[in-house]
Amino acid sequence: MPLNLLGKCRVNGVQKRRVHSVSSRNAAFERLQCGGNRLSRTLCTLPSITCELSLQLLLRFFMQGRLRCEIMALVSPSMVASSAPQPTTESAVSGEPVITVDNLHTVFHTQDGDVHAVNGVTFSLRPGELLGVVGESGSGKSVTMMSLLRLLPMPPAEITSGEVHFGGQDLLKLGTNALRDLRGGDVGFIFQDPMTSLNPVFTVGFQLTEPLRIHMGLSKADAMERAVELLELVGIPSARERLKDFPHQFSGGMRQRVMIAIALACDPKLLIADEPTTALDVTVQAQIIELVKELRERLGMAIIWITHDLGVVAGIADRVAVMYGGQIVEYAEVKHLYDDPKHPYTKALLQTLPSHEFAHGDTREERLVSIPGQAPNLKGPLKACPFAPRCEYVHQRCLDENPPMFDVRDGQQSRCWLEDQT
Amino acid sequence: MSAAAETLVRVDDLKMHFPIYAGLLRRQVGAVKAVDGVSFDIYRGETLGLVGESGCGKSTTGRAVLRLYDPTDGSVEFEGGDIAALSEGDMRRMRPRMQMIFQDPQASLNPRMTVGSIISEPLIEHRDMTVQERRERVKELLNAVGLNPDYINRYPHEFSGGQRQRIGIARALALDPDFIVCDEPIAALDVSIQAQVVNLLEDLQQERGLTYLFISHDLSMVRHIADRVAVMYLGKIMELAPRDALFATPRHPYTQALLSAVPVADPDIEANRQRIILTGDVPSPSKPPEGCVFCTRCPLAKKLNDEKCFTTAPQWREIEPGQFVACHFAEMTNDPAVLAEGTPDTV
Repeated sequence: MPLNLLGKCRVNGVQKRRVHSVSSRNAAFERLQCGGNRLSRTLCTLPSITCELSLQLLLRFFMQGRLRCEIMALVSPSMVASSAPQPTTESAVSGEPVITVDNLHTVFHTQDGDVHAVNGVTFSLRPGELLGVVGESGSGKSVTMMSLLRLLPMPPAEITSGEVHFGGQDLLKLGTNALRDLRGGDVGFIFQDPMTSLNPVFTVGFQLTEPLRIHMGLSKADAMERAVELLELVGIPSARERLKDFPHQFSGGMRQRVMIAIALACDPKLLIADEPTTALDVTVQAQIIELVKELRERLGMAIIWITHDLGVVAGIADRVAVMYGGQIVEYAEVKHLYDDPKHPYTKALLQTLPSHEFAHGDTREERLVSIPGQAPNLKGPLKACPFAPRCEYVHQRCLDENPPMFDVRDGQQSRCWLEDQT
Repeated sequence: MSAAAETLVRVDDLKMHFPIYAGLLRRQVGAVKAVDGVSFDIYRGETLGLVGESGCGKSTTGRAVLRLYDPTDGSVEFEGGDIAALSEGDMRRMRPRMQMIFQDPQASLNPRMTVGSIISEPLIEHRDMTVQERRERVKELLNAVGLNPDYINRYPHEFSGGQRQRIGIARALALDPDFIVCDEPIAALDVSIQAQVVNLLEDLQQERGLTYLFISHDLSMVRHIADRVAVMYLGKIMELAPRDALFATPRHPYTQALLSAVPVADPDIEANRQRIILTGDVPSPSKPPEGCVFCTRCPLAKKLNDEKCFTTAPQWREIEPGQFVACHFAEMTNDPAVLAEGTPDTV
């Protein structure tokens, strides 16, 4: 039993590298004292005890019943101070990718046949980077993100192939328990509709402390303290009193702030936001966007922001993935995408937007450019370019073969035969 | 659009209050003032855009104008006659002239009726036609909205979102109305489909001389389709102006904040623009603030800290020809001197 624990500690200990407030450390002691299966989790929250040696020491002391005093020695104030301000230093967009998704395929087995919702999605994200994922409904953007954490009901869903690397593990091969540790821990998820994703019969305080207690092993009181901090972080006034309120006592924007606070509770390395502002009004949307921008600078996490609003992405993303028919059809830096879109779908999509020059000009006489036809039916595997029936540049090859990703220029890729140079 | 501005619909001080009952005896303890004194004119052949955030009363206004609700107070004149005072029978005879297109095409079409029976229902009610004539008329309408007339026997679930909205439009057109209230007709549709529906609405307006009240929260789409735009907040109209004037020189602080909050699909503009971020949330319409309804969130009121904003409701006044504003300090909102001195709420 102790040896098992040790192994677990080591794996998790390397991954978890953040310091929480003083109160959480006290809570850790508490957990250690009660021992048992809580031990591994508790150790993870102690950042200064990451090396194997200290863990072995600790464990030996623990088994000898000498734990209490020794642990005090281990977590000396100097060690805490040195490891505390960690995240800010690596907030720049650089370094090893946080997450790498490679050739992901997701299929829904339905009575009418297989629906191929995700058809080979590949992308990666570095720390502090914000990737905007744009697409219309049914383009597979939500299903892709749900697949990463295997949040889809299986069956009917099945991830048929692909690899998702996060923190040195393949998430698609990870066991249920390990995956559970990640969800809400290292990976935060903000869902689209704050009303339906918060549980109406529990207080906001309970829902906010739940991940803290499960993932970080905090005591109830400590978790409450941290919850107050989090609510203040996302800008909810009189946070302490509001913890006792139920979701229906909050407005839409406030609820989405609570959702963000829950997603941020365990200092995730990766935050996935699935249309976080779609259900909100524009003025509230502007508030939330500013909040996320600010939090990203402060906490330095990588963010995947799913939306169908090209305007939101323009203001917030570093890179953009445009999805259509369950594939990324264009992948580019935000500037390149808007200045010089390559894929016919991206071009058409940008043209459908009404002109945004508010200064002058009579837009009334211009007709909006519309994309004829409808989104593709994804039953059966893709045999041709899914955009071909609506594309103005369509030629025979588009109908025969689905194009691969072509590199257009530095960091810009387009899935279109027009880019085939050979 | 037409220079000879003939007023088709005149709304005067329209109020729509929904009572709140509470307590053991279910006595009325208050009212949700969904629409609280709204006045505007709609000219024949034009499109009036009505924008605002959710809960500001724009849909209620649209429904009250068609008398789908009985207004609490105020009048709605259609070609000079007050429809708020009509008897039910007389109102029924007016209905063919005014129709509505609903937001959610999924919810507003009966899933158990075929497209043919959905579109012919108004014809059965209001016109004396044989079955064959009705069928011909339905096919004609399907053609007009860009659907294949052979789809007449299909059910709504067999269509995509954009096509369903076309069915809703065909139903609204069935009785050759003069005036159509479009209540967020494109909100439930995808971006690439939105453009198709907006183009269709514009074409139909040209062909048939329709007048629209176009309710939406999408400012960029309203800017495209509307001739004049009214901005609502908490049951009141804050500003009403010709489209270009409203977007070029908004006078009301709320309009300014709303316009600055709209994301623009251009990273260069997004990187450099000054956003006015409103703090707080919309107050409850059952307890609107005293004075100006916007005073709790208004950056200008905060800066000037003038008592007037918090005690007296501002006058609805014409500040430029055709541009109406409800703000005590509308003259100052575009004054660079006022804006320059450290705006705390711009980010």
